[in-house]
Amino acid sequence: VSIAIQVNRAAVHEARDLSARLAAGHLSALAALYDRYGGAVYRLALAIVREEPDAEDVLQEVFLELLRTPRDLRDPRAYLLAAARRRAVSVLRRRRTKNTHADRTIALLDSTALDPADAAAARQIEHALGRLPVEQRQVVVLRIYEGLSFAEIARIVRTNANTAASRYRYGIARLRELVGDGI
Amino acid sequence: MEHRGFENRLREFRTKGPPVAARERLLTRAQDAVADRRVRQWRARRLGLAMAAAFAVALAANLAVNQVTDARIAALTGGPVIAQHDGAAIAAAMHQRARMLSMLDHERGWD
Repeated sequence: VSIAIQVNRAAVHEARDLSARLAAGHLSALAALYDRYGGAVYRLALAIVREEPDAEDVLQEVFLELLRTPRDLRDPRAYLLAAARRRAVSVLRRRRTKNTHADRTIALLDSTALDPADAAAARQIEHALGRLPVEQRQVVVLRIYEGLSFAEIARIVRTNANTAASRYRYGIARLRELVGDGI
Repeated sequence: MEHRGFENRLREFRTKGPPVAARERLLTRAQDAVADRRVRQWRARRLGLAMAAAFAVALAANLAVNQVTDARIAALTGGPVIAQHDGAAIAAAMHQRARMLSMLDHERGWD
């Protein structure tokens, strides 16, 4: 427990240092944050918008916003993921008015080093993920691929932990139904 | 229904990150954003000083018309006492304004 508290204190201290450096316009601070959290931000955006170019736009805007409006980042990951979700949902809303992208595979998994059977399974998962409702999709991705707790997810998606857990359970059940046990 | 095995299977797959070039694109845009911010800050500072100096000139002129002594005008406007007549304090305030703006231009590298 004491080691965990020390690690947490160090992380908070480091996050504050990064905030101060960002406020002073140090690009190395932005690069450090990007290297640590860019992947998670991109994946959450992708899970919501489903299109890679849109996900990259969200990623860029989230990090640039940090430079435009410096803020105290006590928990950079939570802040960045919440900001990414907000922007991605807004992209989705604009797109819905154009009535496109009804069903789309999400290119979330890296299948470069996989054998053909696993690569096929990865494609099945990506396709099934794309068919989940967005509320379930984001929770499943944050839980399975970013390893977040339901309490952490709840703060990011602006709900409570029970609802996050319930969305996750429904999402996993639906995913399993879509993919089957063949993966 | 128990999904633990299924969840573990999902976790076995590695995820992709953003395209490699995205990092470079971000840092280039960030560099432009920082430069823009500095120019905006510099403009705001220059405007603030210019307004303060203009106020000082106006004050000096007003005080001169009202026959306040040059030393008093100089003290109020922050300018030096150049000569014992009304126009000198105005000139001093204007000189002070020009000096501040020139100093800012020099900082910015525009002189």
